[in-house]
Amino acid sequence: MNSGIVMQAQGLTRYFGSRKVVDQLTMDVPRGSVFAFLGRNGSGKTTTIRMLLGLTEPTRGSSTVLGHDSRHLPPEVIARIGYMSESHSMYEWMTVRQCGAYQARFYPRWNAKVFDSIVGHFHLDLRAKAADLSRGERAGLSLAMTLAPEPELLILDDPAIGLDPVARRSLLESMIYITRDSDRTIFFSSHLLDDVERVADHIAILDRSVLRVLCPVDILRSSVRQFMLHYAGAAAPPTSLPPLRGLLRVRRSPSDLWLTVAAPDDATQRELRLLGAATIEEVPVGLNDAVIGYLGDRGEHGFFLDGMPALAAAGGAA
Amino acid sequence: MSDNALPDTPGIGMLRAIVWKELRERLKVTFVCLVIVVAGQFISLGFQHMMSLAGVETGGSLFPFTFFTLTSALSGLLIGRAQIVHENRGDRWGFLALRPVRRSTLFLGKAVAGILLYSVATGVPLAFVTAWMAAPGHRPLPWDPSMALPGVADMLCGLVYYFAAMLVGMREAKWYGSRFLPLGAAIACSGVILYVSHFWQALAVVAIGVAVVGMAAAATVIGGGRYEPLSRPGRMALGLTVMPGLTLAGTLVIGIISLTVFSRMPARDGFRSTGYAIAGDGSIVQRVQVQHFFPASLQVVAVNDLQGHAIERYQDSVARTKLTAGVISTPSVSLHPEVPSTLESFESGYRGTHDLFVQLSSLPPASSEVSWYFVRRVGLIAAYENRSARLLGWMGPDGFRLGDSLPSRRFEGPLRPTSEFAYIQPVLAFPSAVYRVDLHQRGIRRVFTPSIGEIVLGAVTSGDSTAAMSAYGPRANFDVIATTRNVYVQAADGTGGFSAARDSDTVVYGTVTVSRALLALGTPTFFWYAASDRPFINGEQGTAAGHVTEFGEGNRIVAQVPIPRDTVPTATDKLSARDVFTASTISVTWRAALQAYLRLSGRRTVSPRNWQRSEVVNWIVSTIASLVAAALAILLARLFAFERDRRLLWTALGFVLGPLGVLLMLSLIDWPVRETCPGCARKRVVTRARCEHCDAPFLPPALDGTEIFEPAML
Repeated sequence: MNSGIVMQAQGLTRYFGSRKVVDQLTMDVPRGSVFAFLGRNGSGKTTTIRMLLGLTEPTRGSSTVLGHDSRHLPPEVIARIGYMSESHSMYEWMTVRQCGAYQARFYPRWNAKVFDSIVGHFHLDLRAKAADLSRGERAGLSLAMTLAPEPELLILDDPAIGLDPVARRSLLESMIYITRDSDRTIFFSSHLLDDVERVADHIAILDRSVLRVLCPVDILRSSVRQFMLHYAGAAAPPTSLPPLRGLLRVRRSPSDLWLTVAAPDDATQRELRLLGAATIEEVPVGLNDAVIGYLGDRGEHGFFLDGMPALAAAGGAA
Repeated sequence: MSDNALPDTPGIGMLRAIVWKELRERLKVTFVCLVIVVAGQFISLGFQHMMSLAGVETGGSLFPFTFFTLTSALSGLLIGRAQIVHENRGDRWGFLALRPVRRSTLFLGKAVAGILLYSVATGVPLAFVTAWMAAPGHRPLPWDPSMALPGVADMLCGLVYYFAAMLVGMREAKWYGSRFLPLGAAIACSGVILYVSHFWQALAVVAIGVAVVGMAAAATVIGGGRYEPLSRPGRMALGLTVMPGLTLAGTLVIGIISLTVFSRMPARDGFRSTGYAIAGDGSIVQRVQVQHFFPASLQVVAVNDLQGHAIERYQDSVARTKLTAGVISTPSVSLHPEVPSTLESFESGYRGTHDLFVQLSSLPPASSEVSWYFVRRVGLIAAYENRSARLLGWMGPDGFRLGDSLPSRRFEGPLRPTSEFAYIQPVLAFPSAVYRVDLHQRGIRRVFTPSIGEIVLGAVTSGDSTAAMSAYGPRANFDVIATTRNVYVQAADGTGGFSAARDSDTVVYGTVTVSRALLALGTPTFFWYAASDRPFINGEQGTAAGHVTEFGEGNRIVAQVPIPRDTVPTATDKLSARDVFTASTISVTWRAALQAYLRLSGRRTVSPRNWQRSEVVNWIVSTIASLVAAALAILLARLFAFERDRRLLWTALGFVLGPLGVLLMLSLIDWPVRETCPGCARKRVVTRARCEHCDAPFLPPALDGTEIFEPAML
């Protein structure tokens, strides 16, 4: 295995019944990266993570984590992995202190200071039962239990889901704090694109169980473009668009079309010119919009308002 | 970051942590189980107490353990289930399994804690009840430490339920499909430990059950619930665990279908059988009966002579109902007391008290305030007061004595079994004497002493159990004593009577029954020798042929009549769905091997069930069923692209196990989805990297032009 790769998937596929939830996913996760794994609900993110961790058997394909086959991860490898699930699983009847003590029994490199500092950061009472904690507090405790073993690879499955802004911010700060060690890899799935933008340096996007994006964040940012096509006078945007290579999203107003396009090239420029607009202007696109282009349906009906010209016009103008 | 080796002995610390967590986590369900078990014991003991007070004969049964069989099994199920279902799926499974400890250690920790909790939930009540029963004054019957063994066996058997529940909870299978099937193994274990005679046999069965079901549970937990990741021993253990469940479920389904769909035919036509009887006029006749089950009835439809010709006077149905009027018969006397009868086998063994003591009763019952037991170990009869459960005293050959002290003289030799209706009349036979016990007056007297060199085999009395007997006078009340040389018939007071030597014609038989036709001319007496149900006395059971010796006036032999075999219902001659379900080469091979063994060992191989289908038909049915099952297995293996070895294995199992083998295959395997191959347009399984027909790989997902890939990351 390449020592610069911590996780590797090769043709990873999983069916639930006759439904294919992950379709031949192939990817490498570089060591030391903060890797955002994105996709809509049901796109296969959690299943992929669970296959990588050996918790779910793939229907086909294979994967390795830290150089070991995911299906047979030995304990010494698991000791180097921190995993935090979206439900922040823990034993409800344990107190915060017992949770820490219990986890510490399994991890040879348990760092009590890290545990205490994160617990303190989230203002958790050590005597409080896990069942009595708020969602944000549970996230904090879960993070403390995940980080205290000082994992080499941290896998977070939508850790901030359902958290209030303060708890979310705390979680993010904790993640940033641990990335100070450049050798540590964080692989996380999230729906919170601001967080992704702040911390991630690599990104993968699953679109209905198929991997569409796998690259450094900068490349994604520079590869996705938005074009504003302005129609002057009596001319109006065409009611239906011809097939455009790489088209992610379309918004329209009575006189304008906004097209978000992935990896446009000269051919794309020619196709755009054929649409008969008076002017074609490239407008800056943020990572959020780039990612949202992938998460919505392709074309004009990716989002609810896209199909409503008047409202979409207001949105587009904004 | 370098690989950090775990500390030298991490396993023990981790195991302790897991055990501690499991113990703490499952306290509630353990408490619920404890309550269930204690409630069961209270109900059992309450019933026992009420029955004792009412003077109901309990035979000294181990009634307190009746509910324990159920409650211990239920406790095993509840604790096993609770330990798995909260952590077997999704994020909770991830939280449990994704920690630096082997899954085998996780399972071990759970199992250690579960067994500890189960032991508390069932062992504490068991120990309490055992101690309570052992303490004098609590139960009006003798006590022996071996009486606790059924409870111990049940408690240990609960561990099979415990592992079965873990397996059911963990296994990825449909609830309406094969998920419940592992419980069949536990139920089978319970059934076998109820059936076997010796405690060590029960222990062996439980040990095998725990080993097999435990291994299946461990493999399934380690494998995450699916069949495919299991190790080979794990797959074998799972197969062995599922098979009894499949058999039970299949038999149950076929039984229900038979009852609901096919019961109308025998209900309409009834089951016809023939037997032989002594008629009221002293003749021996063939009786043809029809048995209906819906509603239940047994009707004599014809009475024939021994050649099968209808007897004119019994054409009338009223005459047939009075066929045996005036015939007084004793229960049968065993001529081979060393061979236990079916009922004795059932009552003896570690689950019964038959080997320890025998409850004596009389008709009409003696005082309901006292229970009487012949205690084999001391060779005396003990009397217990039901209300106080105190020992009243002991009865020996010299009479009854109040108090705890044992009489000096005791009954000599083992108490003879008399018949399946033993001790309705309290005649007690020992090798060297026969006694009549009067439980009403607490008295005893010797009524028979064999001559030198003669040994008593058994004794019965015609008794006074029917009101009709009193109408026929003293000749209706007689005792029969069988010895190694003679059969004696004497009056109830030990006087009069006659004897007949057991000649070479009669020694092959297992029992003798004595009848008197009191309304017939000369009031003849009949000695009816039969094979009885004692197996391997002469290689026959149940409905075997017999021999009747008739004594007329002056007790002279007037006839020697061989009795043909009875016939029993013939409905089973038809091939049933159950026969097909269980048809397999293994079953027919087993039967053939058994017959060969009996033949080689010199035993007669006459089928005890002469109405059963012939072995040829069995072979044909089994071979066809096995071939069809093997063909089905081959078909499934081809459809789902099994590897060669696997295909051969399942084909062989289909052939050996028959339909059960195919059902086992369907129950165990994670059947993959099949989809159309774009290369050859045939269905292919999705689990293989390449099409099994044309070797085409799976096409990568279609590109839509939006892909952005950094080549170095692919």
